[in-house]
Amino acid sequence: MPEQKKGLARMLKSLGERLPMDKFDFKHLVMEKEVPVHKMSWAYYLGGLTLFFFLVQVVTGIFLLFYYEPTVSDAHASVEFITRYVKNGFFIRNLHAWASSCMILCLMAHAITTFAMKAFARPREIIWSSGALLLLLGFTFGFTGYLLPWHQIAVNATKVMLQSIDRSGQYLPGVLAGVPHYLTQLIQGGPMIGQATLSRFYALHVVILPLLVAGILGLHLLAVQLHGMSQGTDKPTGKSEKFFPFFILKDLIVWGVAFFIIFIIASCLPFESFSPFPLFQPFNALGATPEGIKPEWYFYFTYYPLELLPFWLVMIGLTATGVVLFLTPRIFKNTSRPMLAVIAWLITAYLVIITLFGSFIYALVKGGHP
Amino acid sequence: MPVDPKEDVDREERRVFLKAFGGIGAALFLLSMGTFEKIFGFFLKQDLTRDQEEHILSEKIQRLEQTAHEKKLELERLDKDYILVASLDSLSPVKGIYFIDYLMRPAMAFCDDDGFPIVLSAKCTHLGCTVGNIVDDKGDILCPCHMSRFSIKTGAPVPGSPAKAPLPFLGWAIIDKNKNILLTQDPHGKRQGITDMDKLSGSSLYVLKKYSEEA
Ligand code: HEM
Ligand code: FES
Repeated sequence: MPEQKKGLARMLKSLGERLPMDKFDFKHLVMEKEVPVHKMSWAYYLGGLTLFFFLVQVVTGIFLLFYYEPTVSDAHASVEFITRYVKNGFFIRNLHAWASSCMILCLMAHAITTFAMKAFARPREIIWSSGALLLLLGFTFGFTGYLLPWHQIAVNATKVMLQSIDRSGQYLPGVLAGVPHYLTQLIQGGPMIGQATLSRFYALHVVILPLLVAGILGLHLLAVQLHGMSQGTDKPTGKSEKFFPFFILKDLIVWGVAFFIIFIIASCLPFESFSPFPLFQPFNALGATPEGIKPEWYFYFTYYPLELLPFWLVMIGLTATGVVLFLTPRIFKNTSRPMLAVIAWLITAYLVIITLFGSFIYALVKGGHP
Repeated sequence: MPVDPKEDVDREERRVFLKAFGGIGAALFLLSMGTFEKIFGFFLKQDLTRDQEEHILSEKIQRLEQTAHEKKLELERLDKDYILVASLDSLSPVKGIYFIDYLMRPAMAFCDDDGFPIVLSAKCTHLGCTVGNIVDDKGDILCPCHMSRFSIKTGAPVPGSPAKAPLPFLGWAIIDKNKNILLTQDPHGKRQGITDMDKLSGSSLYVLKKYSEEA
């Protein structure tokens, strides 16, 4: 008995250290929070910027809900109606598309910079792992949202993605081999991609994911406020500034500039203008897969390896990345900041190269598209 | 006199604070002008011309009809033992006709040099894209996703394709207007019935439920 009690006490103490609720008061949260000033200080804005783009998504998403119709017969036409006939509908939809990409970009930059600054170290494990969940949810947002306009490219890309999941079963041993197929059926909701899939993605995209993100983000931000900002550097400058009101005002300035830029981009630059495809046709179940289907740019880091390398290798790589992501506070516990910075640069270099030059590399290795 | 770093930051903070206040004030003004104009327009009733309204409605009806058609095919799959692919005369050796088989997978039908149907799955054995229906001069069809080529005569992938397994053949039947089954072929190519092409013309090609249950 006493042994068990001790174990419980230790667990609670460890939780208390990670989530010090005794600091949940005006003094700690508002009056005393300070943000260190040093070479990497700019990275302290990235989380806030991600939050800003997330808020833009919530607002523009609610707008779109007033006209969007989640059925296979009407989805494409309703999106077309928004862009062609609704006043400023083009702008709102474009804003939603651009801000989604900006959100994912900031999300990745935020994860990489907090990694380099060793902001995951004890006692900030909860901040890191809630962040890692938010990263996965961010990608899921993109994946589910992509399907909603029900056009040729999106439906076919989703189809291929689901089939890749299905196929990974053949590399798993024993009982596990059936899991990916089961999972695919669960996501797809039927023998082929159709209304059931659209309804599921819709429910995920507009209700389940936002609620999940709101909850986990709440925990993330609460823990950040309770712990204050991490030092982020090996050589503290000794300088810092008050979070309230100075840093938060600077945060708002950054948000204002971001809004200004994205407002202008969304007013005059259609999101699709960077895609290699002309205006997307509605999905047609009776027809060949169109040439050159691709996911959104932020999936290129797995898409091109999938195209170029053996399937099982990519699966192992992805699984390993996921494990390392969630175990980062443990694995890199004793790694020095300069070493973390090197790793962060390598990750950044990989992401930039594969995202910008993936299709070029593909052409070099295989010849021709995609 | 060296400046105390703390004081330096303080002065910097004060400057930022004032600038930010001005900036936010101006931004709020612009926002209320620009954004609200956009917001209200978005929710107002959209005024469309008669032409636009006609265009929207006819497009909507067309897509509803297409969906209804697809649903009908699905229903047919449930309660019929065979489903229509196409009339025998409409089959072509160079351009396949797509249809959805009993397992809800895409498939397509061609005709062979001797006029008999070739019916095979159109779901690429690589990652499941729908294979194209145009036959090239070597007698192959192409999956556009990663450039797998398949021979329509054997279903086998051309060496070097990312796909390694052949496209499976489907069993089929030729049925005349009076619902008489004239000829069947199982997925392994075994035929039963009338094999005189002249006597078959004017009939139609169907796929059979019993063959997809075997598969
Ligand atoms: C929807 C997604 C996210 C939002 C809105 C968000 C928001 C924020 C905000 C506002 C902060 C405080 C300011 C800052 O340091 O930038 C923060 C801190 C932090 N975030 Fe996130 N975050 C998100 C995702 C992530 C991800 C994906 C990770 C990493 C896997 C992560 C890890 C961290 C860490 C470690 C801190 C503490 C930084 C420090 O103490 O110096 N966050 N987040
Ligand atoms: S899916 Fe057909 S070649 Fe890859």
